[in-house]
Amino acid sequence: MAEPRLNLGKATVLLVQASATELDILGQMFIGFGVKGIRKCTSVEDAEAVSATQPFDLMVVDCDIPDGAGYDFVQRLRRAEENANRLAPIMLVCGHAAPSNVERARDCGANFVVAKPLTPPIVYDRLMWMAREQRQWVEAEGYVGPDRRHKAFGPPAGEKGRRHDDLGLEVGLPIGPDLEQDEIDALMNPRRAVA
Amino acid sequence: MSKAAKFFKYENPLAKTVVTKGGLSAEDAIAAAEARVEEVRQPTLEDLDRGLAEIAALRERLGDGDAAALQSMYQEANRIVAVGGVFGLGQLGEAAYSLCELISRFQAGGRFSRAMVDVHLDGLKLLRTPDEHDETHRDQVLSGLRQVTASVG
Repeated sequence: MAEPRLNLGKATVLLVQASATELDILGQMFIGFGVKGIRKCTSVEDAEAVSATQPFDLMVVDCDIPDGAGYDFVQRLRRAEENANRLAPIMLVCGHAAPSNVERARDCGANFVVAKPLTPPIVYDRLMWMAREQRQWVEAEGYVGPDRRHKAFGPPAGEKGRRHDDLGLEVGLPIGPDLEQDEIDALMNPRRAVA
Repeated sequence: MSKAAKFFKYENPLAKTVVTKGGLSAEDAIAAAEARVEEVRQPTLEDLDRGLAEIAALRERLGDGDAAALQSMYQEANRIVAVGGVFGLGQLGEAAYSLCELISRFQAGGRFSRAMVDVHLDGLKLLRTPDEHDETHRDQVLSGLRQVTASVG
């Protein structure tokens, strides 16, 4: 099977970085990836104005904008019901994060948090991951964004799940006879059907 | 009583960019991006050096742990975290990360040690020119900086 590729020629990307140097690096990177529609913002105010009028396929937002403005921007966007970018994939990029900001990064509603330095292999890998993710969207009083659970292991032990499709920990009674050993072997060792 | 959470499937606009024909393979996309990023190497390194000079200048304003100077030093160091590793100065970036963590611990615990800052500044200076020092030496410097930072509870 052919290896999946990314065709970002028609994608529109918003880059929000406080540092012009970092913005230049990231801009160059996305041009290399084939993106033609790049919009760069060096402040959250600019990003807010742009995102209110233009839809984006991806946003890359800096955690290191002073006073946690990057987190707040993502959180506001996720709750802005009229904004076309409310569900847009958001990659949050962080340098050093103080302990108080680690939870903010997790809870603001971004799809993925990536640690700096950002290099082309890292960003490409995360982009591919984001393009293929199929998590559900969650809207709750304390959180709006993609489901923070990347894997579904069921509800915590001893608790009833909050989702309608959460399965209980107890295994029910069998609904049919047990498989015979040769039927189990056939599952493990499938063979080509012969007419 | 709090409102029940809503869960629903949504359209991922990036999903349509994943293709099996056309577009760029990972190898080609990364090579093209690396070539593009290379174009900004020189201005980035100049900016990085300005940041290092600013950190050195801020040292003089630290006094007994001046809060504003420490915060400015944190921000400058965090910018080096972001760009060092892009152009082969990964260990410089890691030393800058250690300085950020040190300052963060100072801020959280109300502590300050000029000696701990100074040893980081020496480390940054050394790791800016990695080719002039052998790998073992660089690793030891970085390990020492991390130990210094970890010692601040």
